Amino acid sequence: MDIDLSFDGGIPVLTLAGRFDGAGAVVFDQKTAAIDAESAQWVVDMSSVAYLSSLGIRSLVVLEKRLKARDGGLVLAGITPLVERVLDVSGLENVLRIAGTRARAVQMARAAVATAPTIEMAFGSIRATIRRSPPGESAIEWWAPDTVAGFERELLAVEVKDLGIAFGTGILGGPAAFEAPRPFVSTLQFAGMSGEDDVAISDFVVGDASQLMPVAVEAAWGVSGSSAAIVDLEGSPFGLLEALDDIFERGISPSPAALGFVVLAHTDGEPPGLFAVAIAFDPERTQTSLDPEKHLEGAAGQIPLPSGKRCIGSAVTLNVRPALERSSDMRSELRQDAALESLRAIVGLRACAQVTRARVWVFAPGKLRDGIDKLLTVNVEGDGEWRPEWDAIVRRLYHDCGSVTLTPLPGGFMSSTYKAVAYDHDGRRTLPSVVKIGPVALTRREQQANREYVSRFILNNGTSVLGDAQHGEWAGLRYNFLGVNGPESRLVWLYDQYLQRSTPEVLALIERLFTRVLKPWYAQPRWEQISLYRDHTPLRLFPSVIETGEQVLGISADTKEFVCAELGVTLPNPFWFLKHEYPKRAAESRLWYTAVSHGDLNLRNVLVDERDNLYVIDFSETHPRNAVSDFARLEPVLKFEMTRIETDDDVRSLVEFEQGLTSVSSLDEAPPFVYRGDDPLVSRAHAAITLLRRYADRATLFELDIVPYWVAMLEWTYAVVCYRQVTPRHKRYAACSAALICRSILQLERRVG
Amino acid sequence: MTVDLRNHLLDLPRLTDRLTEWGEQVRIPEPLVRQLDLALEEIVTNVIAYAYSDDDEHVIRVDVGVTRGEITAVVEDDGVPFNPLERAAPDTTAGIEDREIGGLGIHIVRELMDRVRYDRVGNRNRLTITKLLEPA
Repeated sequence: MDIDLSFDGGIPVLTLAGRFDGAGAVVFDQKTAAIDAESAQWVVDMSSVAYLSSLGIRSLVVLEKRLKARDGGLVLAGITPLVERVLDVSGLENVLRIAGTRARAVQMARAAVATAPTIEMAFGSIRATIRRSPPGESAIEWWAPDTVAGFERELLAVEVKDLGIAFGTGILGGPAAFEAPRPFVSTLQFAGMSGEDDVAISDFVVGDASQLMPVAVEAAWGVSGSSAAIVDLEGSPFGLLEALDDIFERGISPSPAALGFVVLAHTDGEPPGLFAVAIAFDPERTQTSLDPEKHLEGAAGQIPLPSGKRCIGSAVTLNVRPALERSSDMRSELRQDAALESLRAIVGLRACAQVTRARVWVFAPGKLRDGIDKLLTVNVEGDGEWRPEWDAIVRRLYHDCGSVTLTPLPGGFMSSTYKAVAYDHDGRRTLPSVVKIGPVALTRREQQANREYVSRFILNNGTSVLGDAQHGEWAGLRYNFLGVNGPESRLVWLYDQYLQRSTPEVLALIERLFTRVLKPWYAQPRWEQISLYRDHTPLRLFPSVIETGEQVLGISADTKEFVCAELGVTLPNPFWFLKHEYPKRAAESRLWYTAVSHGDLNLRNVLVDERDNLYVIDFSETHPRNAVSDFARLEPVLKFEMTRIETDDDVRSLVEFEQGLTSVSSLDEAPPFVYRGDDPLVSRAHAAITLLRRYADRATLFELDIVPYWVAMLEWTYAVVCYRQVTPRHKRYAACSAALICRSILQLERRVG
Repeated sequence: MTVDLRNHLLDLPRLTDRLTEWGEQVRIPEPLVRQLDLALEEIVTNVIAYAYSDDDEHVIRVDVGVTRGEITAVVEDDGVPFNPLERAAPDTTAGIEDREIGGLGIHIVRELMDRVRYDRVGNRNRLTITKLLEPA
């Protein structure tokens, strides 16, 4: 490892290049031992170090300890991925200071050195020690629900880490029914919300987890950037607001229109400690400089200050006195106090007791901005449902991007799917990806299935989960498609391709789906005991099948027979079968092949790109089950969703078609094509179903018994009765289809019996 | 890929060179090779430091192979029985003042790898580490 030493404004800067391993550590120890610098704040530029071993870490820690003894320390810059990982697992990310760039690291080191110049002043009876910081930028941020197309959103969904140091009204933990926004305070070390009334106990969260806490904001103000000065105040008990007014008057920056304050103080009474965030402003001056739109002037809860300026803010009472050590920075001071037993209650600034000692970090903001501007821009096309919490999920998923545009992909029962086009912070378009947002439990299940059954088996289809995020009751996944051609790739559902392309092309796509993408699942079946009727009951996903059959179709589940007028015959009543036969048979088990299967394979869970690459998504139901399940799931899709069902004649012709399909008694028998109608999609369905059954036969190593296929298919045939977006004719066809399947099952059982 | 290393830190760069060459041949992504490199270096450094009670020269054998979606590496030495996995994990939450120097190496190995296993085979220590190849 090569080490170059230079000085930047008195700060020693070590530039390392090469491997920081055992040999590198020896060089590092020798070189650093020989450095004699006045400053105890050093910068280590690691941007050319791709490798850091435990011996390298040992050297960094030894040097950090040495500098710490002189109130100094290291600032690391340009951390590369593996180095970051190693620092992280070693627990050093929170011990050593780390800056994004070398320039920023030098700035941090200088700020730490700049304990001088120190100015002593007296504000009346208060002794003030003012330490100016090196110039840095800061801003005041306002947070409010935005107005979209004339509709005012009630609450803005963000996270504590977005807000940073802020105060306002909102709901910590995200929107919840029956809960009204309440005063809250957030920092990067803790956040808290006041109780339901003044007496109730405030809720706090602390530690790293608090940063990810969702907040539904009604209105909030924040301070970001670096402080311009640190002011220590000490004296006989004095009012905090008056002291802040004094700081404003005496001029920290030349002529501020507004100042932000973060305060830690010892009070005169109980509780003994206080944390406060405040913004003081001169309304006449802010209008012409910082705030022409008069956001500050309209801010709620303004308190007039003696000089005529105004102040907004909030405070947290503490059960402990903050340490206020001379050398510590705001982050480490706050971390010391951010313990649940130390934080007492959220209070207004007016309710603060008099203080005897205070440290005030003073921010001289150069601008006032909408907090949302610093976050990712999320555009949603179309006018489907969009919840404010989903903004926060998308921002988390695309934290590496500057903007993202989402186009809804239709379909999806419990969750919403979007095609996402995202641009990075430099405006470069990234590969197309897909976002799915749904209830937390469902999304977690999908993620788990992905880990268990997808990424380990079917890598080649290329869907990989690139990220996940949760906000309140919702969670989202970001999928990348590895095989996608490039940013111009077009992704459409297999559903569209099925309708638009020729039958041979459609069959080729289905063949590829099973023989290329999903084969690693089906080609490794296990032979084991399963319970068909328990595993395939439609009542799990559609508990109201029996009631709906009675209400919508007028078929009682308590008669054994079902009159099928379409065929002029009497069939077994499928609802009777479901109500009376399923429970009886639930305990029966038999040997049969099982394989990992998707569980909800339909034409809207498969995406096709312009090169006919197939991408399967939605694995929330994926697990090992009856090996023919996916094939038996697709058949009803083709019959009930992909054919024309507009007239009674259509229904009659389709029931005749169904009679043909159910007339076979073995899985290897090609079903006859019996159809007198004129819908060309029926012959396409027949060809595709013939193919599906051939694969089902192959997946079971050429077993002949078709009953497991019938039972699996019944699950999704009954389901049609409960579908919302279909007509009563669809439901009638499904009932007849279920009756024909039941007849076939009973006939086959009699034959065996 | 097999490398026989002498029990001296100066011999470690040979491991890195061979591993890099091998990674290119079998097309393992560079970041994974570096992680493996780091894990193996930590293990071999540990062996050199703790496994030998004499000052003689010893051979530490490193075998690396890739199969069905995972990389497996085996480090074998003829030192005294020593299971590094039995060492307590260091307190990585301690502040800088309280932090013990050293003891981190095997912790880093555990964190970077998916499986780590120790066996005593005859008169040899055998440490087997496995890294899963996840889709990018």
